[in-house]
Amino acid sequence: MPAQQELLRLIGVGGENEPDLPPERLEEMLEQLWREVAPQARAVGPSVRRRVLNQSLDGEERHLTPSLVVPPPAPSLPPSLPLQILDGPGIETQLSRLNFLPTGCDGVDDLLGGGLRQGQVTELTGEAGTGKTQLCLSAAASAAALGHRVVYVDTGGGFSSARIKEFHRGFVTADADTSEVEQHLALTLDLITVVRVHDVMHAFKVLEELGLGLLGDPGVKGDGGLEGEADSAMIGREMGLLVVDSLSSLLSPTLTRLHHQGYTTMASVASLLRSLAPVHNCAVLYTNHTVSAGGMGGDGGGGGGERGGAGGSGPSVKPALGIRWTSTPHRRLCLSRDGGGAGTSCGAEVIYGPGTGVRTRFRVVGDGIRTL
Amino acid sequence: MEAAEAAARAFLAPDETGAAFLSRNLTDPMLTGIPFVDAHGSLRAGQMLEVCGVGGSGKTEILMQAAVNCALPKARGGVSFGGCEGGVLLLDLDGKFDTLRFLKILTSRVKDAVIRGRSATMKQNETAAGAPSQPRKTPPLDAESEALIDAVYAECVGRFHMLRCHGSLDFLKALTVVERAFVEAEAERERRDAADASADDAADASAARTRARAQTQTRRLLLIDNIAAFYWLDRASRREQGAPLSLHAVHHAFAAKLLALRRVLCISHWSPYDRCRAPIVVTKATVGGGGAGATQTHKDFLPPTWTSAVTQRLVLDVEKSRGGGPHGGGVSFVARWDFPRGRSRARYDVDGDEGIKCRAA
Repeated sequence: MPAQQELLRLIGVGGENEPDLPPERLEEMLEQLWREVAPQARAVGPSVRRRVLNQSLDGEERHLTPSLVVPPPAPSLPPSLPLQILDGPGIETQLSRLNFLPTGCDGVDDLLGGGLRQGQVTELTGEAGTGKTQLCLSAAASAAALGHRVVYVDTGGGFSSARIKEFHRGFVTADADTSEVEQHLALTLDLITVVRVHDVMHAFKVLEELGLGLLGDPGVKGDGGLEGEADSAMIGREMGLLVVDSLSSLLSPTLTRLHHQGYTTMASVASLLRSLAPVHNCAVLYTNHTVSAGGMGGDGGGGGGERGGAGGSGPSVKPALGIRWTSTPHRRLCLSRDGGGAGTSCGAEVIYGPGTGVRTRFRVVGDGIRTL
Repeated sequence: MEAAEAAARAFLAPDETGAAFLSRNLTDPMLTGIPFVDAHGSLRAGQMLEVCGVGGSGKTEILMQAAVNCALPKARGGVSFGGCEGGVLLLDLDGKFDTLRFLKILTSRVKDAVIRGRSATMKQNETAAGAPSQPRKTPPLDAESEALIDAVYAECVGRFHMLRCHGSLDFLKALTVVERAFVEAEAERERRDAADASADDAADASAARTRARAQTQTRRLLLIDNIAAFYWLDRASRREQGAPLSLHAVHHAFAAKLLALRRVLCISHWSPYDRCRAPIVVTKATVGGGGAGATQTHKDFLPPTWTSAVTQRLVLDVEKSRGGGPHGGGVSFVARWDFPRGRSRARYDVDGDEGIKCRAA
């Protein structure tokens, strides 16, 4: 029997007509499987324990120091094995290695309990012009300025390096040395890899390649899925933040009656994102647009995630991609606009996940995002 | 011929003695700390509870609280923690179980219990001495309490294991080794205890511990977050084109493995008759459909082999009250038992920080 067949037999999905595995072979395979899955012996000292429990960014870590330190090399975390039992100490060790990445807006960081968490998926949803892309750019700029590698998957052409530069200027004080700022900006921009993606199949390719970067051995080369000379496997391995803006514009065209595998596509993307985050120890941030929630603001079978924005005026809207998508992210942030016209303030509210119902207000200005 | 006879004998062999059956059914059920689950007191070994509901209805929260409650000890150092002292294994299919939150909830539970225990003893002493009890702040924890908190925390963390699965193949592999994982974890704890005992000194202490262990069975709890996580992926797998992991095959195997875990379970390592069975709690994300006609039976979208493996089903639902209550959003949650029928419904809130909070009926 080929090895694959034997494994299927062992886990209970082999055909009914297949012969049973001989007992000694069964033992051997169970032993092998156990060795693969068994937790590693680890010991955790009280200091790690305390740090894990107090984990959240305090003031000085959250704000960039004006001294323009050269970013430390991206933390190269050993990828967690795909299937391995984590015991208590293992969980603590893993948590102690994960960071909170600032979004560039203190109010939003507070909503998120300290910032974008590595290992978790965060969704930004809201109508057009509520600052979704601005928050994405700001988060990318902040993370890169702190020395984390950022992969920015851009589906709508919303990425702007000029905007990154403006945000970067906002991180430093006015009297900072110009040449140092320039040097730091160059390093920051170097850490941001932009991938332009226009359909969901291309998105699959990119995500899978990034995935390989951490799962495969260092010899795995990307085959040009990412632009330029960059080796996607290498980038994937170091990635600290993955931004997808906007994810829903890739997925919603597949969710029609005409597309017979729409939900499968959506579920695959969800599963890829959710496994990328913990396995690669990176934070994932993506945006989702909104759709009308219908006349009465509910569709009968509606769920928890479809409350309108903070304002509540106008036709009620709900996040796109429907109820099946609701539980994909760890947290869902709904952005809304407080009034009409340019330069008005925006509101953000957690509508799914820990901290549901907490709100903040912010305003997008020239060199940053200010909490009100 | 011999093989056939052996198989027949194995089939006929009892898998449980009467004493084991009684001890299994007379032990206290596993408590989750959530009133509407505990009220019916039936989270016993051999049960499989399915918690289903739409996204955001608090399914993972229930698992979180069950895990904390199971890992906590009953009492240590004169303080009651109200836990079950059981080993927990969490299979995370959704990738959504927040371990940091788990550790934080665990710490605050341990701390609260110690503070409560200390102030209770203090009050007792005061009333015994006849001193007037004045309202005052909780005293700062002494070194002894701090040490107790640390020790209990470490003990609880040692009882918790989790395994992330990124596909049905992973999950099936995990189910294959669940039993082994429990046994190894218990052996590991025993080794540690033995090392502690020899490090301490007293042989009588270890004898007392062995006696205590013989009386209290090792308890286990298996938690699975979102059995339907890979539903759409498995559905796409084409059986007619030879894909082995088709929806039916996969769920058939899930059900078979979990049934086996429930029924045959592990022979514990100190006595072959003292079998230890684990209650299983499974969550399942649904797309709603409850709404107004919430009295209707839950319609399972998973294959029937799975449906029939479940022994209890709790349905969580979101109720929107348009009036807008004091809680701003005007959203409340209701839990009802789909199976067995006739159990009362309960209203609850999902709080971002504290998890599930029941409302007074």
